[in-house]
Amino acid sequence: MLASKDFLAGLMYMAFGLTGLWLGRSLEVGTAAAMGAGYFPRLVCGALIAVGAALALISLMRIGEVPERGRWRPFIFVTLSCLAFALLLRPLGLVLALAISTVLARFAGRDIRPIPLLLLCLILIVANVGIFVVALKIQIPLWPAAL
Amino acid sequence: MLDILSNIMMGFGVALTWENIALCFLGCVIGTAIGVLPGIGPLTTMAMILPVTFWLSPVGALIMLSGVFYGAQYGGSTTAILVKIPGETSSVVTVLDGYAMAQRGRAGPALAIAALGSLFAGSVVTLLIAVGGPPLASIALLFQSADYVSVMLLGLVSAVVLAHGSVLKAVGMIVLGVLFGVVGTDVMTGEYRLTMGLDVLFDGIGFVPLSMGLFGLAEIMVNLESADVTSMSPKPLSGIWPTLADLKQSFPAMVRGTVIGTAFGILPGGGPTIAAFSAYSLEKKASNTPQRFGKGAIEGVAAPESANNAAAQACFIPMLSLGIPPNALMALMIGAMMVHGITPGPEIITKQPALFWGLIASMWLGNLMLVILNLPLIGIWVRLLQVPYGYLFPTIVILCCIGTYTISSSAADVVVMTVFGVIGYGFRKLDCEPAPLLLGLVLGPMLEENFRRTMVLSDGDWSIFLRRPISLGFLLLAAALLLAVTLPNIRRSREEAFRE
Repeated sequence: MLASKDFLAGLMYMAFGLTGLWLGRSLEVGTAAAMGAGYFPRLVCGALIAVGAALALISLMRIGEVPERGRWRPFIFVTLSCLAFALLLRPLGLVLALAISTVLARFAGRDIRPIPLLLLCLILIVANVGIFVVALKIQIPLWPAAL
Repeated sequence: MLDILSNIMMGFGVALTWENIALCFLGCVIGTAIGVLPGIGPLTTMAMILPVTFWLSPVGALIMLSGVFYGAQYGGSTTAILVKIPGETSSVVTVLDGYAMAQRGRAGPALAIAALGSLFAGSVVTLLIAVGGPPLASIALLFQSADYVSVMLLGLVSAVVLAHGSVLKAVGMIVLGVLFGVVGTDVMTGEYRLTMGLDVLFDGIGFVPLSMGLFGLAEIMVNLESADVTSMSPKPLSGIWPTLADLKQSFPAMVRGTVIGTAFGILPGGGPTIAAFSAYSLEKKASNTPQRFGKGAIEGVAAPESANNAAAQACFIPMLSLGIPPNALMALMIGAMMVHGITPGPEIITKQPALFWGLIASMWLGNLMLVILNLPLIGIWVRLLQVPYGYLFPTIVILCCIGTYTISSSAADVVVMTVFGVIGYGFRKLDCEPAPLLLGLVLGPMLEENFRRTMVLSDGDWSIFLRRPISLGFLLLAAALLLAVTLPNIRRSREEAFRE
């Protein structure tokens, strides 16, 4: 019961609400006629905590579904692929960042074969450089800064 | 009437420039393609091409984005009928009778009726926007901040009522969206709020990183967990054209579907999916021969396909005339407008007539293009299904990354997107539908601004919301809706509608 989807969702809402209250603890509340920056956020956080508490309490009264077990592989590799892109773009340039991100992203799935993967990297590099650098003229370095 | 005619002519003048025709066509092609492909929806796609549209004119950007949206409604039905895979959630019911028709060798007429029904619905609703939009906007000009607060509350309430699954969870997602909308610089005092001191959050949580993370990345993570998305090849098509009897049988269904679709499209929180479901169940109830449904009844294709396209167009009505998005997709369109420096609201029609009428004219054009794209060229689209998911998902990940980066050349935005991918994955695991969150994110800041202005004007007196008749009306409607979901028998029929 404590691991049901509804109960966990209730806890999640409460956690977001409490985090919001804590992050905005120094914001001035003011009065209804002259609201400070903190009035509305506190109202929203309060509502979120109330909704979360209600959801969690109600879920305790019945047997709910438990979340399906996830698989780590897609989750980790998709996350890694995006982070790699964000961190490597400036130092390594677009071409290498795209290649590394594509390979990492592809590893989120199964049945990886080297030749199609290479092909995919090439297609994505050519297409993205074509669209964003050549056509839209966005300032992104193509190659590592040292070169 | 003459006014409307001359306005429509002006609209066509805008829509029929080479640039805008090309953008409309491009939008329709992309829309059809992602409509055909399961596992990637219009919301993800629109979020992905949003950065590219920054380089277009505002009209061009909106024309292209809308094309993607209604194009997806056409494409979604193709795979539903041919291979029993609904390309979009709004085509789920089309599977029932559409696939049954295909198995009997009548895939061609089913596709034709789906396309013609969509065209019919699209044209009728576009006309409705043209006729109804301006008067609605002039009413909206009478709104004061208190009325805006109430109409937005009504919108949020009805989004909850129409959301799938648990009502409380949907409320939570909307409130969470409003909370995310608070993050950033407070417009009135200039103070930073809930930014954790991170530079990237000073301007607020970006719409694009958030939606790409929640919809693009999270979807891939979940899709890859389930059984492999297999590619399928359908039977070859014989004749496409429906018989006269088919047309006679499906025309009333198209009309009913269009009416229902329009209603659900305008309703906040509605949209193509629920419209299609409702149209199908109504059609089944209204029919003299309900036992034919599910076994290849052509009305079972005509009604939901007209309804989903009608809804896809009708949700532009509140967006364009009030500046209030009725669902997450329109929230994205509002996001696109704001990026182009257009403030959404009732003034758009009078201040930006070229934008409003050009967009409307482009919808006619787009619907026509889509029928041509979908009927004779159907074979090409079906071949798209054979693209393995192994190529597709890395492409989506890369497009999400580079698309987010290019908005403000910020790698930090890509990190924000990744964080929302992780959060979105958690949402999916807990069955929390993320679309209401997006609505909350867009409506939140508007709600706060109007709320604060109202309270300043009323000197802190809350009763102002009840003293203004317009505001009171909206609040009563919202209360009635809330009451309705808590009544047991209505709740039961709501659950039934979603189960079917």
